[in-house]
Amino acid sequence: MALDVLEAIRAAEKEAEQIIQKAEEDAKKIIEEAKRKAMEEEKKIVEEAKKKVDGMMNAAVKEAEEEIKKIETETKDKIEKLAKSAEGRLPDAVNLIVRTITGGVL
Amino acid sequence: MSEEEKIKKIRDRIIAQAKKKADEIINEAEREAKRIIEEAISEAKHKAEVILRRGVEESQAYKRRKIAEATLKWRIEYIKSREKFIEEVFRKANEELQNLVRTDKYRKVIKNLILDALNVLGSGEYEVIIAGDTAVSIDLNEIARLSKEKLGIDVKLSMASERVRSMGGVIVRTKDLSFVVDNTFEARLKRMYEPLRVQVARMLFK
Repeated sequence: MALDVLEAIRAAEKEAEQIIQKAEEDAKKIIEEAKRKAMEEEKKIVEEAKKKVDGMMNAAVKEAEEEIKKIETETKDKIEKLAKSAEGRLPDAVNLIVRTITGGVL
Repeated sequence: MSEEEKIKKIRDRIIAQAKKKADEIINEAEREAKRIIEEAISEAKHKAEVILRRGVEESQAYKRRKIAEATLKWRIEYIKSREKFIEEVFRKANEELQNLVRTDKYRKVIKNLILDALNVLGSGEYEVIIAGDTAVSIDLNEIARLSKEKLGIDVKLSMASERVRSMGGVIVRTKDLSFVVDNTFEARLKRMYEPLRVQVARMLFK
């Protein structure tokens, strides 16, 4: 009878060992899965940020291009206006130089 | 209690303890898993913040740099166009001065430039060199008289035998060359370039 008891205890202990071993294996899997998920999440968050940065850079390029175009147009207008007004004053300016160089004769 | 029931009770207790320990192991693993994920997310958020902050700075810096480059480029273009007009005025003035030496007015110009030189030199004896390819006959005695009348300067003038390579104008000098007033067009243009440039710019772009 005592032998039966010992055997039953040994069997129960073996079963208990298996339960714990299984739990340890499951725990290992949970950790591995968590690590995988952590990497995935990290990658996702970082990639999202990089994507936002790409968007910002694209927007900056576009804004800069628009501003540059505006500067170009404004300056060309300014140069055109300058040319128009200067063109009419050019003969007087030539006379000024000639008059000064010739000692005020002309 | 029967012997069988006692064995079952012992077995159940061993299994129950094992299950409890297994639950603890799993619970601990789940806590650790949660911690790993939370930590990774927090770290990733921090990295993302750094990336975004740098992104904002870099994109704004890019925009500022490109706009500054364009502003400078077009500012230079504008200045160049102004310069082009100023240079055009000087080019045309040069043309007119070149043409002037072939006109009747040139004689008057020469007289004026000699008087201007005498005004600088004061009384004395001087040589006059008339520049330009065109031969101009100048009455130096008349100029000496005008010098006395208008400037109160007594001078004796003679024509130097040498020629000077120039567009036009005169050189008035002492015979020993210790005093020379170069009133050739080129020399006057060179001397007066800066103030003339300012006046021309004012006139053109007022």
